[in-house]
Amino acid sequence: MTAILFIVFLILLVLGFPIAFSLGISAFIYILFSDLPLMVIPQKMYAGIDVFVLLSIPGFILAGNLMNASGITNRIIKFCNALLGHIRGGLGLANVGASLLFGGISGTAIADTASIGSVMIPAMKKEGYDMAFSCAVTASSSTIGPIIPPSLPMIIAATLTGLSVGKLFMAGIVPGILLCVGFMLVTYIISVKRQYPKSKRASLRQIGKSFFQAFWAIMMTLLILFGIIGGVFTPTEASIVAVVYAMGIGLWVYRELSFKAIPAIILMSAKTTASLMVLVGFANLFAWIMTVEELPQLIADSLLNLTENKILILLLINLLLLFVGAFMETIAALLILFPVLLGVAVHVGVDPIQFAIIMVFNLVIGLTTPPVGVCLFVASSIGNISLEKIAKAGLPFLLVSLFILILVTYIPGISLWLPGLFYD
Amino acid sequence: MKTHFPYLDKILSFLVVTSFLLMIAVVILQILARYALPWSPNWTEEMARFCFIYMVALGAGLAIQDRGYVSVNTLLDQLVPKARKRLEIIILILVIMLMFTMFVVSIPLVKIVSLQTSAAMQLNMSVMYASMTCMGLFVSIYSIFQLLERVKTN
Repeated sequence: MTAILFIVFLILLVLGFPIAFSLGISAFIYILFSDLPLMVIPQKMYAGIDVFVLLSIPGFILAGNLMNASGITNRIIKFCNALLGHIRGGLGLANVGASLLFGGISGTAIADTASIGSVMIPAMKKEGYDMAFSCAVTASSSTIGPIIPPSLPMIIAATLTGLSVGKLFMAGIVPGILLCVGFMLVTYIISVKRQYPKSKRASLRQIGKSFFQAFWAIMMTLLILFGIIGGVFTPTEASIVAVVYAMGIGLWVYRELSFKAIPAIILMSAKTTASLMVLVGFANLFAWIMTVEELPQLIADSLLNLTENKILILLLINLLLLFVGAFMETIAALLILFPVLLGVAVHVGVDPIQFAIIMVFNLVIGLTTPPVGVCLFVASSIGNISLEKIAKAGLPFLLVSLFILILVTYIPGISLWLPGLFYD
Repeated sequence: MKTHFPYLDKILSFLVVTSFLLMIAVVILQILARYALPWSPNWTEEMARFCFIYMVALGAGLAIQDRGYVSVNTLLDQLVPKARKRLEIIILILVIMLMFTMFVVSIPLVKIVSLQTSAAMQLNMSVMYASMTCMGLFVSIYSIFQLLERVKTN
């Protein structure tokens, strides 16, 4: 019976049904064949969405869009370029650095690829960088975004299991920075090998000036983080504070945002949120059916029957997640698998916070790998170049991601040190 | 893209933006109340959730129009136009079936929960659950628009 649920879901997914409706329709078909009432569809949809922490999602999406409309992307890129431009492959390095800073105001990788890519990919091409390489740097480095706070996947993970959003946000910082350093190293080595250009060293004055411009973006990240950690506001409140902050900066500091433009930005953010919440709601229905069928227990038992060795279990889970991440969108995969796998991980003694980071890390790697890597799609449409070429050029970056994934998986301190510092 | 009911678009968009703004206002009030005001209303969280759920329910249909739902198009992109059109029509029909069912079965659900009231605002819970009826209805309507358009174009 549960086989129907999964087989139908996978078939619909491959046929090109939106993921949200693939989940909904497969659950619907399952319900028709079982003795469950159809009423559970709206019931579970409602229960999945009516959660206060989820309110932070439209807030962070809107804050990111407002900052973007205020011209923050160009300012961040200018600052990174002033700082790193004089090193060989400077523009590539600035691309990675900008992803780190941009990750602090947006919660998804796809937004990072689109915003930074539309500026950086043409710029890198103009300076003589290989197109596939430029797209690969952009797509890969944008995966830093959902690991650095604020992060939509982390909010979802917290919602599902009642973990603290603040702790999850803190736990992502060190892995995110490691990823950034790793990507920069690869970019530098390749740039030296291929003799990519470097620009003149920016004067201290120029760096200072560009820093002041990017400063307000960095402040927003810090405001969110310290607001939550300090207990000044809840994650939802922090997201709304970020909205107000972004509006203020856009209207009165950068002066690139007009009052007139705001309703359209709100509407766009609301629609993005709505489609995401339909996904969350149907995933909740899907997950509920799995629980009725005692599937999570079955999966947990069969994994634990294979081995109870912590190292092996984590390895198995990583392989499973990398595979799932290659085919499925991050949040959908998280919604269905996180509660199931968390039980297994905790059973073998992994900290839930660390496990959330491992899980998100695994899934975002899939954003840059075929067959279904949304960041690849976006980069390829900006650069007008085939997916295969970008994927190939992205191989060194993929290896870095995998290496850091191993570190995060087997060294708990990388994720747990910072939250421990602030929370215990 | 040509819309079938420009008024429906406008009304829904207006309501969606209004609920978002109201949600922002209520959360700001919640923060202010805690730090600056002598009283803290206990209804702010519930009110914010109410705005959020209606923003989602009403925005879900509009998102169909924008093709805002993530899907895996690897197979679709490889099909010849005629087969692609057929598959897209099938997808829309199944989406309509699902969402219309949700619309229909949410009506008795709304009646059942009308016996409950919310904790803080004493709001009848059927008002909250009616959002699911709206979602089912508007996603169905916009999917039907898409379907008609797809059938017409060659």
